[in-house]
Amino acid sequence: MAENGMHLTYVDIGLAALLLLVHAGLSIRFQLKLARPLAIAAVRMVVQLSLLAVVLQWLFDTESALATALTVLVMLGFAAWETWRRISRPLAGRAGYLVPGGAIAVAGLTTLGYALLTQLSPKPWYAPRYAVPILGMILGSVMNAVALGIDNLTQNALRERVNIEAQLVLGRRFEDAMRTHLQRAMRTALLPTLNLMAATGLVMIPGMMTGQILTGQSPQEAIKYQMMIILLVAGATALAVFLAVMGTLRLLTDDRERLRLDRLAGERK
Amino acid sequence: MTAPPPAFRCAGIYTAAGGPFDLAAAPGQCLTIMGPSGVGKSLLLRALADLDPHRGDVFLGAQQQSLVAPHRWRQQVVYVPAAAGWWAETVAEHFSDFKVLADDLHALGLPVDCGTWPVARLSSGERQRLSLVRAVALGSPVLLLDEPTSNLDAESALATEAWLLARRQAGVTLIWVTHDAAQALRVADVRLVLEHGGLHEAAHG
Repeated sequence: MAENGMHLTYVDIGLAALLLLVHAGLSIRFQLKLARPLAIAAVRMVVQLSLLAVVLQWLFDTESALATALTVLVMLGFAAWETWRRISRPLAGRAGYLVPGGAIAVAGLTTLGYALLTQLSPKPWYAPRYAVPILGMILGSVMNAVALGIDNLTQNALRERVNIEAQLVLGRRFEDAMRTHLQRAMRTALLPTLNLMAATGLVMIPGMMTGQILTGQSPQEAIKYQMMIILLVAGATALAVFLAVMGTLRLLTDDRERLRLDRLAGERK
Repeated sequence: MTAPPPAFRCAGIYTAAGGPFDLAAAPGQCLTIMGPSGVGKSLLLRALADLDPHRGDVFLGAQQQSLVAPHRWRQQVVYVPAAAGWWAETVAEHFSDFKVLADDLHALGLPVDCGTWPVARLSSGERQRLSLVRAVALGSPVLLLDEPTSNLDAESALATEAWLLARRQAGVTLIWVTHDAAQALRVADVRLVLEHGGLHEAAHG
């Protein structure tokens, strides 16, 4: 059992795992066939987080610039791959990874650098104890937003092809013909972040702040960190969405301002 | 004195459906293109309007397609698909000045007050004729017409043919894809057939 400044035992974790029986019960009762995937997902979560703990501990202990840089690179690589996976019709070829990956990397690193150099100022400036978790929180939100933005833009371009070309054949510029679709894609991508900011503290207590409070931090201190993180995430999301959507838009056309839907990959199986 | 409308020609065009395609039309001429479905007639028109990547070049007078800004080219060489798109809520929003088009609407049997209508209210035939009015309203020297009467009854088709042919007096060149041999005979100055990967002049008759 935990007291002030909680120390959880593996028995406590086991007790929490009992709640998965509700999941299992639902799956059996309604024949959802989720029991096996659920067991695999739970085991994966435990293994992944345990490994993460080992890696983070090692990283924090060594405080190596090279190891921190490599960790950041791996995180960005996974973020690009995961984002690409969530887009139903990504750009074909390398651009499918490079556009969302580049946007996420530029936005994530810029925001992280800004936070480390101005607000947190750890010693050394790249201290992995700060850099890695903060980048993780930024990437979690940015990935979703970038996937939503690109997916919305490409799906709209596919669905509205005839209407977009109807404007091109009358001599309108490509950017004018795409304006409403660009706006829709950006709004769709940014709305979850706006909603999150509006709901935070009223409907929902964020996980990071909850974690800090549970480990004995005062709510006032925990809230300050949470505010900073939410604002960093909002800034990074806006920058990444802008870069990703504009990059995709640029590749949906060519120097003759045609609509190049042939540059999209085929439907995922 | 106004300059005469420029001639329209293409040489050695290759589309995804094949090539080379050569074509030349004097100002005010009407060329029809026939050929089996899927042979690439629409792809050829799209290449002429620079809507799809293609090889070879197209000329309007001294202007070379690849050297003219794409939107400027498409303002002069206007492609009208059989089923054109509508991107705004009401009809008039698709025109720069709908009020001046009453004569054209009347000639095509369209209600003069349809500008306030939602696009969803239009029949496919009304949409097709309005898309022709929308393209012609640009005052472009070349119209690329992809089966412009495919959704119309015989009477409306004849009225639309007459209205389109009247554009020739102003020097407008018409490149007209059709599946209707009788229509081609009625409207064409030159009848072409697209087959075996090339454009050939149709046999007389």
